[in-house]
This record gives sequence, structure tokens and C-alpha cells, in this order.
Amino acid sequence: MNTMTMSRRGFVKTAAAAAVLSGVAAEGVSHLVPVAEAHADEGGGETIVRSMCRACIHNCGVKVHMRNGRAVKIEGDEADPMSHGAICPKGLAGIQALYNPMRMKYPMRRVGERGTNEWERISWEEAINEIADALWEAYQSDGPQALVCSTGGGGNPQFFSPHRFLGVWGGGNFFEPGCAQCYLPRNCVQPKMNGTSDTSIADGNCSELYFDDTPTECLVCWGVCPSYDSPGTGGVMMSRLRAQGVRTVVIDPRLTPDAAKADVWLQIRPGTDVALMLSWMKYIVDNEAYDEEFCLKWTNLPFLVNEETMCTYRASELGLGSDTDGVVWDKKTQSVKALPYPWDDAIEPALDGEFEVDGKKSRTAFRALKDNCAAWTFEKTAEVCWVDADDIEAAVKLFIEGSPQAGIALGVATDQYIQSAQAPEGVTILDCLMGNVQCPGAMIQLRASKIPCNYIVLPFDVFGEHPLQTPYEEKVKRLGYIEHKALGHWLASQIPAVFDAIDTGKPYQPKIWIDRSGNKLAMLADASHKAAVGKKMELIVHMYMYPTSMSVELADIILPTAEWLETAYAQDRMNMYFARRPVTQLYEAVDECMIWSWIAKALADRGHKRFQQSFDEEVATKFLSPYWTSYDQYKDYIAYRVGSDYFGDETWTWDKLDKTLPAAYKSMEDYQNDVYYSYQATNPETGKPVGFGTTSGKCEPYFDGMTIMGRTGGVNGADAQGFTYPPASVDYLPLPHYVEPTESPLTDTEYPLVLTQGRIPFYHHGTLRNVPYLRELYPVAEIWVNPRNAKDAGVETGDWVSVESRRGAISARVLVTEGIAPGVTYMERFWNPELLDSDDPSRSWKVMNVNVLTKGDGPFNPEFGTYTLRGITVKITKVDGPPEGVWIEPADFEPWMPQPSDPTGGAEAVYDCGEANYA
Amino acid sequence: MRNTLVIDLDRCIGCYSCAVACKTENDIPLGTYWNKVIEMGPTINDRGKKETYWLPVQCQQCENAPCIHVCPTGASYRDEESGIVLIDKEKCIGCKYCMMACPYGVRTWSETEQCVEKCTLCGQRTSAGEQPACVAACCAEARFYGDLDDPASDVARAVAAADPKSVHALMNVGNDPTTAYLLSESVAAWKGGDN
Repeated sequence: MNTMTMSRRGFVKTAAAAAVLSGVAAEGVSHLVPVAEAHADEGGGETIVRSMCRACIHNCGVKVHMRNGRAVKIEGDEADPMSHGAICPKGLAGIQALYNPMRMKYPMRRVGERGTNEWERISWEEAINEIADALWEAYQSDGPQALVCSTGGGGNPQFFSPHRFLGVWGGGNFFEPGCAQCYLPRNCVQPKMNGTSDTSIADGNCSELYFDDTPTECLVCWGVCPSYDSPGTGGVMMSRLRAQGVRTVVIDPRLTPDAAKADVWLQIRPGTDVALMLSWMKYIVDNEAYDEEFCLKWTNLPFLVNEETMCTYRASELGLGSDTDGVVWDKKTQSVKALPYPWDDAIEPALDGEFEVDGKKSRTAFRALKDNCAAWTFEKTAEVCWVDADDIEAAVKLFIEGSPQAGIALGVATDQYIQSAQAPEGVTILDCLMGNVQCPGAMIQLRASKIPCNYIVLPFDVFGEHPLQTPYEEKVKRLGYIEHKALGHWLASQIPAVFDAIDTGKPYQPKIWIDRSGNKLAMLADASHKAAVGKKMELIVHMYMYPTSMSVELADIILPTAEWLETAYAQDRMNMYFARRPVTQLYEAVDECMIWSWIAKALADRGHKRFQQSFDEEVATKFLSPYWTSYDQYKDYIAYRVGSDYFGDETWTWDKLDKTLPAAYKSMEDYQNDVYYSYQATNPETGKPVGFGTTSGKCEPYFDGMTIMGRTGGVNGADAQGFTYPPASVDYLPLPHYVEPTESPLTDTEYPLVLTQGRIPFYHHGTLRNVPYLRELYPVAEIWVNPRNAKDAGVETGDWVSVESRRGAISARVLVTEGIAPGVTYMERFWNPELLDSDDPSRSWKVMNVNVLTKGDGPFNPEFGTYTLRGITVKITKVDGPPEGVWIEPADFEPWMPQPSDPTGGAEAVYDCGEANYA
Repeated sequence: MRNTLVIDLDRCIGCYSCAVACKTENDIPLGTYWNKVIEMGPTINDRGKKETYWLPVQCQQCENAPCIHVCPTGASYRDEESGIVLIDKEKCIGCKYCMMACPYGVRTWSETEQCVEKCTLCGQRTSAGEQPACVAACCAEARFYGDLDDPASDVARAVAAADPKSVHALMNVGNDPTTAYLLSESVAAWKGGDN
């Protein structure tokens, strides 16, 4: 064992000193890396590696300039059909992130108490063995439920790594601060309703918007600002759209660039989106502006509803036909009829009405929808949402005029409070009513969500039955799952339920936590609670590119992962495929997929049968791949997937991929046109239209599938493996209702301001707060305050305030601005890496972290268990100045300026997990 | 020959890519910008509508450049070949008169180089036929580089395509800046000067 011990100040100050006194730098880091010769300026030719960024989830094509083995410049790649050569500040930050002095350089074991930041270097072999020994012991004593794994969207994740690991392990819990609070609600609800896709621009959908001459006439950006969440891809796209004359409606509490340039901007009160959606529904229904033919033929809206079960009748229930057929009221015969898929010209279904079925009152789903929104006049909505009634009308009219060449892109905002399921339900209803589905110009298109390959590492639990899937008896134990079954879409557990179990040991005691992410204490709601409870875990392993509050406060072992410039990946960009190529490998860092593989291998070596099987291609399958014993194997697997799925060639190796990509896998014309109206194509087996990917084969704006999911685990009565689960304690409703935020400014006199959050172009989630060129632009947490509230609080721009909620208090610097409405404030997430190197490292997540304020307890969203990040109430009080020790001035960030070094080969150069042969 | 930048503020999204790309390309120290971005707003217009826009500011490539006039050593000069206002580091004595004379505050003092610096329109790139870094990186396709006197250039075409009422320049105190900003009244009222 190498006995070098890093003191508390070691993380940052060694590096800081290195930047200032280069003579000491060599000694300071010589344990980690062969000391770099100062040859970066010696000349030598520059080569360009075409790669893909991963500073956020967009994966813009980039060109990395290399000189003498070092990355020296990053530019956008003009060949990328989405970014067209643009590159944003986060992407440009790549080199300062790669060679950042804070990089975690080798595995370390904690030697002091948690929170004291005292560590010793250990070898990869020691680290893997220590983790595997603890896991194997816990597995034998407690079973799989002992383990919790987590990830996050920031950094350079292989998102499904923890899911895959837990599946083979045989149970346990997975969580992620996003998930039920970010994208899962849209990714689950929208495709299950429209049978096609979600409409998250940030997650690669709404591809219609990127064509040179887009057929889209109206785009509604609901709680999303593409110009800020991904300037390189979304910003270029929005600029081009506006230049083409596409009308835009933006719904956002903040005056973002997209709001400033919108045709109509609704500055909505945070947390009230569903009310606004209901008012649009009412206007469309009352004015008969909907696409009647589409609603009748291609949605479940004419289906009659069993008012007792809240579900649409199946013909079999009434003895009228099969259990796949819906039931309608036939206007011709004035009687109840089964409607065989897709329709029957002899029947004339009533869209709207209330009838008697089997002696009981029954409304059509359309009538139920109409009743559900009947109260939402523009006047009432304006009062609830704090927007002008005329502006609401102008907005919905633009949407109607543009339809069906229109659609609603839904952002993360509505995922972050307890109506996380209802908002995607609302927008899907609106798009379905208008027929904005799979037609030119619509956001809902089948070309979206091209799995495989948006994720390279895949779990064994999502493609039907598999020998390495999580067993039923362990799935049913996932914390919070039975109550919030839509979490099952991503195999996730509910965060509050996980932390309750850690805290109380009920219903069982998790003991080991393996996390691959940045700073959980900056990203989870009610951080103080999470920090206190997290310490009850027996072993916490944290893998990331640099230490964070999570490492210092909670971890026992920390493992260095690779920056995106050090890793291999592939991703489609419309009709093209691009590759991320490792341009270097530094220190003892490695792609997380290898760390999970090595732990898997170590457990297999200890006798874990399922992990032994996970190295057998016959069991794992070539498609999902066995675990990898070398990075070259993983790279060849990427190539196999890209080659076989997109280029019709199963023989691709990484070498072939490397020589081929970026390349078009089809023409742009085909990419655009192949998918329109694909639901109408004839299924050769049935002779009928293929329809939509729902239970009924039609769009299901009346989402009784969600009700069924709550009772069973799946929209058709079972999950992906055919398992059925006990019902949740409350039914999930088939139509969205508005629920006033739990902490409401209408009634809260103690905390009068509503707090929302939202993206800025400098950071992605918790990342990049240690990049000098970004921190100097946005050095501290900023809070937007309307001039009226600023006057009340006696503050001006640049003043510091204490921002307080019922959970805690933090500091922020005031920006007085009309960009936020009276009664509302805005902050984005923040933490302070510079405070890791202080007498109290906890302050790194305490002093400016908006998640000290957010609400991690109930009530939760019924379907997803979502807690409240946006739309909590706070108050502000002027304070004297910034928290002590935070870096604000540009020169403060000098210690984080890059220290380029040479490739080492990464962790694989010092660790070999050995052959996997368990036959 | 008037090589310069034209910036379409109707398109600009305030992402600060130009500011950061300039720094990474030209290795500019912390705290210094050759190209900075200023948010002009939000304000409430006559119709009661909230509006805002972002204004990137760098050397305006003045036709009658005060920095050249005041420089006692000829360090600030106009390059004969490109027509671009540049600084000869060898000749700069650090008197900083040019920094005081520049109406836009886009010249900075470099401690490491011991001379005044500013935007060079990325001569190292444009001489190789590439776009300046800020133009190449721009996430709104809002920045154009070229010779205003060449009708086929990106800048001349951008100005020609714009409504004349939407073409603005920063306040001109006799220095005749060549950088043009395009901003439509429908996006926001121009607040960057009086042209």
C-alpha cells in the first residue's frame, strides 16, 4: 500500500500550491502521475479528434485539438446536424475540467472521521477487494436489500450502470435525485398515453424542430428554455426556428432568452401549470377546436367509462366482444357497441355524451375530460396562475392556429413538484385533442427515443424476461415502489422511502451505498436531513471525477472516474452517428462502467452465482453484453451495437467504428419522412394498422392505464416481466386535477415568496463549479427579486440576503429584476467546492445550496413519489455580506486553472481484474 | 476594407459562449474579457411588455479609432493588409492612454504581457481562413465576420438583409464604429447608444 496521506487541506491546496509554485507541484503530485515534462509548447503538430461533448446530456459533436498527447482546444463540429458547429460555455470548459487540479487521481480510503477530509491512498486492487468483501458479507447476512446504488445526470454517467448491477446482484434499491424529479414523469407518462414519445427537447426528442425548413408552425415551450439548458443544440435550434417564423409560446416564471423572444410569454406562478393546462383544454373543448376525426378514430376519447372502476370498458366486461376492444355509444343504433380495432364504419361512435350502460350511468372519456376542466375559465385560471386572462387566450389561440403542425415541449419544471404526473398528462391531452401526433410539424414523433444506443450500458430488467433480471420477491421490496408504481418505469425506489429505511431500519436496514454522481448533498431535497441520515450507512463508496461534499461528508472509499474526454461512447444526432473518443486517460481514473464491472468480477470470484453468469455471453446475451474485463471489450460492444442497430453490420469493432464515425446512417430526407403517420402503416400479420404503442393501439388521453398501473404495476395489468404487484393505497386518477402547492403563497404569511429554480448556461446540475472560466462568470448563488419585493426587503442588486424556508437558511446575492414576478423568486442550484478545503467542509453544501431549502417530505406525487423542489415558500432578509471563505473574485479561482498532464493509461494501467471463466 | 463583426441581437440568446470561446482561444487571464456580454434589461416597454436583450461588446473596429490617435508610440495601429485595428506589443509602453480614449472600455491591461490587449478578430484563425472563435462557437448563429465593403461577405449580407431601422451601433462620438448590431423593435428597444 502506498502510505501517502492527504490531509484535510490536501484536496485543493496541494493543487493550489502547484499552480502557484510549479517547483513544488512535481513533488506534490508525483505519487499519482508520472510527472509531466513541460513539453506542451515544444511544438509538434496539432491533430484533431472528432468526438462528442458530455458536459450536459446533449452530446454535441466536437473537435478536440491534441498536441503532444494533450488536449489543447475544443471546438464545435460543423458536421453535427443539430449544433452545426456551435459550442456552449460548458463544452468549452472541457479542458479546464479535464486537467482540473481538483481531479480525484487514485482510489482513497477515509482515515479520519466522516467529514474531516482525511484520506490515504490505496490501490485499485485494495479498493475493489474491500468493497467486494463488504458486499459479499452483507449479501450473505442481509440479502440483496442491504445495497443502495445511485447515480445522477451530471458528470459523465453511464446512466443505467447501477440498475444493471442491482439486477445481477439480485435486488436492493436504486435512486437518483433526478428521476421522479427530472424526466421520469415525462418519459413514463407521455409515451404510455400517446403511444409514441415524450416531448423533452433536452432528452433528444422533438426532432421535428431541427430540420432546415421545419414544418412546425407553433412550438409551446412549457417550463423549458432550450437556449439555456443546451445553448449548443437547443439554442441554435430556437434561433433558427424564430428566424424561420415559427411562432413560439413560452410558459416560464422567468424572463429567459426564449421567453424574451416569444410571441406570447406567460409568466406563470410556479406550481400552477396544471391549472393553466386545464384552461386550455376547456377553451379547446368549448370552442370545438379539437381535431374531431383524430379524436374519434385514434384516441380512446369516444370510449365509455365504467364510472365505478374509472377505467374505460373492455367489450368483454359487457359480453360484447374481446378484452382488447373498447366500448362506444353508437349514434346510429342508439346502443352500446364494441368497437373492434381500429374502427368499424358501420358504427358511428358518440364522442361526447352520457349514456346508460348495463343499467348504470356512463360518460364517454371525452365527456369525463370535458367535465374535468369545466371550472377552468380564463378568469379563474388567471387568478390562480398570476397571468393575464387575455394572454392565456392569445397563447392557446396560437397553439390552435399552428395545430396540427404544432406541439408542446415539456421541460423539467413540472417534474419538480407534486403534480409531476399530471403535467405530462395535461400536455399530452392537449396535443392529442389537436391531433398533433406523428404528423409533419408535431413534437410527438416515433423517431424519438432511439434505444438502444442512447444508453450503452443497459439493465437486464427492461427488455422482457431475462435470467439476470431482478427477482419478483426483491422487486416488491423496493422502497416506496408499491405506493409510487410509476417509479418502476426506471426500476427506481422513492428517495424519501430510502432515507426513511436508512434512518429507521424499517422495513429493513440498507447498509452499503455505492454512488456515481457529483454532489448528492447539493442535489437532494432537504440536504440537512440527507446528510444526517446518510451517515448511518455502514459503507459508502463515492465515484466521481473530483471530490465533492458527498465524498467528504459521507464517503468511506472514493474512486476516480473519467472525464468525458477520457471515455468512449456513441450517440445518434438525427440521421448521423457520432462517437465520443478517449483522447487521453489520466491518473488512475476510469470510466464508471469498468468500476461496476470490476466489482461484479470480484463478487463473481467470491462465489456470487448471478455475477458469474453475468460474464457469460450465453446468459447475458450479446445484445445486453456480459460485463467487461477490459475497456477494449466495452468499446467493441459499443461498435457492435452501433453497427448492428444502425449500419446493418454485426461485425463492427471499435476500430471499424473509429474509422467510420461520424457518419450518416440514413439520409436526412428519409430520417424526416420515414416516420410520419407510421401508426397508419399496415401490420402484415393482422392486416390492420400498426397503431400506437398503447394497450388499445390508440392514443389514450383518458389515461386509465395509469389507474391500472397503480393497482397492478403496469398499464396493462403487469410490469415488463409480467409481474403483478399489490395496489397503492390511493388510486391514480385517469385525468389530471389541479392541486395547490403544499406551501402556498396564497395562505403562507410567514414565508411570503414562492421559490422556483431553472437552468443557466454555465453549469449542468452540480457540475463545473470548479471551472475557473465558468465560476468567474457566475461565481455565487444568485437570487432574483422583483423590484417591489426588493423595496420591501430593503435590498438592491449586489446585496446579500439570507434565504430561509421551513427547512433551513442559506445565503445568496441579490439581482433585482423584472425578470421575475412580484411574490416570486428564482435561484439555481449551487455548492462551493472551495469550502471543502476549510475547517468545516460541511459548509461546501450548506452556505449557498438551494436544496437546504427544498421540501423532501410529503405530500408526494401519488404516481412517482415526487417531492417539492420548485414552488416552495421562502423569505429573504438582508445580511452584511457573503459567507466567509467563498470565492467570488476572478483571481480567487486561479488555483483551479488547468494543470495539463500526460496520458497514463488510467486505472487499467495499474489494475487487471483477470479473466472471467466460471464454467 | 472594413473587417469587423456584425451581431444579430434578435438571435443572440445570452449564453456567453462568445465570451468563453474568446478566452479559451486567446488564453486570456481570469478577470479579463476581450469580449464581454451585458444584459440590457429587463425593462418594461411602452406597451407594458417586459423585454430584455443581450449585448456582446468587443473592439468595435472604429474607422476613426481614438486608440490609434492617442497612442504615443504607434503601438495601436491599423493593419494595412486587413484594415483591422491592432496592438503591436513590442511598441506598447503601458501608458494606457488608449484604454482611456476607447469609448467602449474594451481594452485591457495584461500583467503577464505587460501591454494593452484587446480583440484581434482572431487574426491567427482568420488568416488561416477560419472564423473568429466567437463566431464559430456562437450558439445562436448571431455573429458574423467579414469585410463590410465586400457585398458578398457575411457581414454585408447580414446588414443588407436587415430592416434599416433595426441596424444599430454603439454610441458614436466621432470614432465611427464599424461593428453593427441588429435588433428589431419587436424584440426590444435599442438601448446601446444613439445610432
